Amino acid sequence: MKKIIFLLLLLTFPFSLFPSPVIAESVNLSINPPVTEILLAPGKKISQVFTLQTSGLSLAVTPEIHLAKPSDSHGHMTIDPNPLNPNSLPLTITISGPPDNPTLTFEAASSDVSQDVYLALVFRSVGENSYSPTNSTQISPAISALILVTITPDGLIPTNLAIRDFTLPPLHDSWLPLTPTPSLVNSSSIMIRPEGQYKIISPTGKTVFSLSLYPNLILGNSSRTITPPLSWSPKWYDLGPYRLHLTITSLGDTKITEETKTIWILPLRLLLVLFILAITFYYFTTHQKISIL
Amino acid sequence: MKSIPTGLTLRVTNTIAIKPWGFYVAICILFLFFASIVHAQTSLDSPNYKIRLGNFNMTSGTKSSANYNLTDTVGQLAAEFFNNSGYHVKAGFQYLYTLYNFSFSLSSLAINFGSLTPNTFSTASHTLTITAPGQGYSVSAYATSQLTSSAGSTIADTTCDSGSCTETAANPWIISTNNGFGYNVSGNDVATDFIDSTYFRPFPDSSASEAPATIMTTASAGKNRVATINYKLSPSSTQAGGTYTTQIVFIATPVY
Repeated sequence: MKKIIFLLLLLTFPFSLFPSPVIAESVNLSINPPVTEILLAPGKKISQVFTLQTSGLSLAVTPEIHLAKPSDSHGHMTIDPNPLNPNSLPLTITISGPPDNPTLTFEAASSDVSQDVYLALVFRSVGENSYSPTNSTQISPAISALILVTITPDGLIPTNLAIRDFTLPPLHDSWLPLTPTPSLVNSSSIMIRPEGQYKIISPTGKTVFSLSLYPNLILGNSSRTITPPLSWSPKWYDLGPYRLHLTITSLGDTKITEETKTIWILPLRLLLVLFILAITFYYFTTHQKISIL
Repeated sequence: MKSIPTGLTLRVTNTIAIKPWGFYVAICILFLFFASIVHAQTSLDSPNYKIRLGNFNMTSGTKSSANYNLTDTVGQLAAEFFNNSGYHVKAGFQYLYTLYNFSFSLSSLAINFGSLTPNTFSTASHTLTITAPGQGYSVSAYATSQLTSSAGSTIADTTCDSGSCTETAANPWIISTNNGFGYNVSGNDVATDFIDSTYFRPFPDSSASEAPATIMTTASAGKNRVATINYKLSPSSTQAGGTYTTQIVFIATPVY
């Protein structure tokens, strides 16, 4: 037995002398600020510093400007994979400073009309020692910061907002929560950050539910689903015609648009159960009479 | 011969007919009363952050012009400030007080497939981890080119078993004689077309002006959301010899 153990130790000893090195190749990127909104007058200049923090593998980082556009009604954006052609913009952008802490300077061209430019500052990194002579893919992580610019000569933002999908059935069961999912459509080419209020008013005129909407940014020619969820659970005694009132205002509290819907809250489920019970009772009593006969 | 009373016959028949019907009604009533209510789980409350609906703004870095230096946002005085200065900057997740930064990490920067065998799958994987305050994030991916050898030969993108998967629509790919290169994603917030581990897509090719494809997306804040990228490659028997490489780019983008 001792000989076997000794043999095993002898055989495994060389492995402990020449272990295969394990290289941690993970990399972490963090960016600040992640979203920057800029309101800029023509001919004016503004600078913003961005900070990229990295950890893990040694990285070569390149900051690049790309065009971005809204991709859905939840605030997501699609980034153009190719770096921006600066000549195509009404904006001069210069990048200075170290690659992981660049200062971006924006200067708006002369213009009489308001217009928006949506950009992404993309930090792309490649590991220095990641080249492999065999069949392989190099993985390049990139993190982006959104830069949303409005160029306006007078600071006046044109508004063209409409409420969409604020549709409800005429009847609602008081047993279930009432959760409409409206969105706001910005038909203007300029972004806007509206506020709003959602109220439910009882048949007696009393406000039974009130909710302030998040002042989400809505980019030009896009839509945004209203948040937080407009969910209200009626109480058992909340019955009759209720008015659902949605008001959208500017940050200065100027009313932009509003919409009111009326919905009847009824105990539909309870009525159905009572109906079934009535039929059952009627059936039993009728047949009992027959059986007695 | 004794005759059976007619009334007794009727009573027995009725008892047999009513019992299952009454039981059915009782069950229906029970289901109607105790039906579970489904709540939409889209609350933005979390132990990690608070929604601030007031005039709180978060800023970072410095802003300056020829005449002004700005170190913080101005909130409701924005219009007045703009009239005086000609600019206004809001940096950070507006109206959200965040306790952590927007960050993105990858477990590896190189995937090595080793030597390839025709009509045989070679696989590899790594993970993506993302932390996003605010109202969510998305991660998109693209390849800078197809897998290309130094001689210029390429390994085609997968079209999956059905021949119909695209850069944005995954389909099952389990037959290794259907050659190509593709990927699958599993984990948190992954695109819904990756139904299971057999569903694959080809990478969009930016050199062919194909738009990046979204692989992870959500409209709510999240910390350490993890997804695994599974690469799969099967060269054909007529594939030219050589060393094939490409570069895959993953871009994390915050929600505005």
